[in-house]
Amino acid sequence: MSELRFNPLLGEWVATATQRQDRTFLPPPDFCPLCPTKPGHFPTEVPEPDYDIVVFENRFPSLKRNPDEPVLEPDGIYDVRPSKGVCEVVLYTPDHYTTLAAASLERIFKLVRVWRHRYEELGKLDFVDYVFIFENKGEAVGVTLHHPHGQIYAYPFVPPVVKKELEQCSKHFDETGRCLLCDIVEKELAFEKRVIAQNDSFAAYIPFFARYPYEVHITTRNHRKSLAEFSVDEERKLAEILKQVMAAYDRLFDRSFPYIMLLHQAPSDGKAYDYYHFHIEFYPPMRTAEKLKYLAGSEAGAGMFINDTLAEEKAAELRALVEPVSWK
Amino acid sequence: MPEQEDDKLQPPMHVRQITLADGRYMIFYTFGDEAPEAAEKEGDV
Repeated sequence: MSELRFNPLLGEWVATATQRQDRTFLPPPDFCPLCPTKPGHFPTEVPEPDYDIVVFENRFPSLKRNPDEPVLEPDGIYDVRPSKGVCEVVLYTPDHYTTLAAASLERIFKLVRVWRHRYEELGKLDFVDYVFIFENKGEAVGVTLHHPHGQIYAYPFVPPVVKKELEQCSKHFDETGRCLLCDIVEKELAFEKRVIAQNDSFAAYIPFFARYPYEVHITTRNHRKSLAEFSVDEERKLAEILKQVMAAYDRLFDRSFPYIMLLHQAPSDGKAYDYYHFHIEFYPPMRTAEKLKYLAGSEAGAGMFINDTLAEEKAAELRALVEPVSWK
Repeated sequence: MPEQEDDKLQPPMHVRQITLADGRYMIFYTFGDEAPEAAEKEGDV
């Protein structure tokens, strides 16, 4: 059963998706449902013996193209609606044992092109207002399948975090005539001490206002609202800086580094959003090699994050671990 | 940038969609000059 229930206190929708309780949980590699189906072996979700990049509808979706009717009727302040939308899984590679950080630039570039295609295609659906591309990596963030993959949620509304960013960006534009993220990138590049890596098209930095010790943002240096506005060269430059950041993360504690990675770009609801600006955010839960940052009372209950570290110091650590990358 | 250079930097992307037994769609993305075998729905981008 899945439905959307409205939280009148926060003005937000919550997806109730009871079928997700039984989803596949950390299977052994021989029974990985995301690997290709090899002849004579366990039949996986992918009915072919090999693939490059695959995208498919999630078997345990929070949102569906043809959702069931809700179990309860709307009741005054308690609104409920069918959980209409799309949930997709993006398989980065047929190799079960690798990660995006270890992937070639060519593979990451392919992924960027797939992301763009999905953003454009899902954005055309009349019931989709926002296409959210993200990756949960590592058991520390709750991953249930190790095979390298990401997800795409096509929401029937602009989700709250993005809505808040849009409000802030719109306010800044109204007050200054400038794009807020253009100004943030300019400040970070001028200050330098929080920059991790940069190239002609992108800046990667731990932001001034970082909430996680190793939170990194990757932002276009030119004003771009979404992947749909990227040139081919910008797609390649994005692959380069993603590789540099993710590989630096893995060098930090000399092991595969858990994170949530997400793409924030313009909604697909038909409005202009010229004041908004594409960027990627990484939320890594590790604050040291042994310790996690938990979202406790102040973060989860009051919305004020407490960062036990200085962004400038953490950025220096990561910057020292960034290495040049090269295409084959 | 001239079109020929764009082509070198960005090999063609092929999109092949199938329908799984339970009705869900699955999309295979491949890259390069050769298009894969035709299936239910495909396109080149």
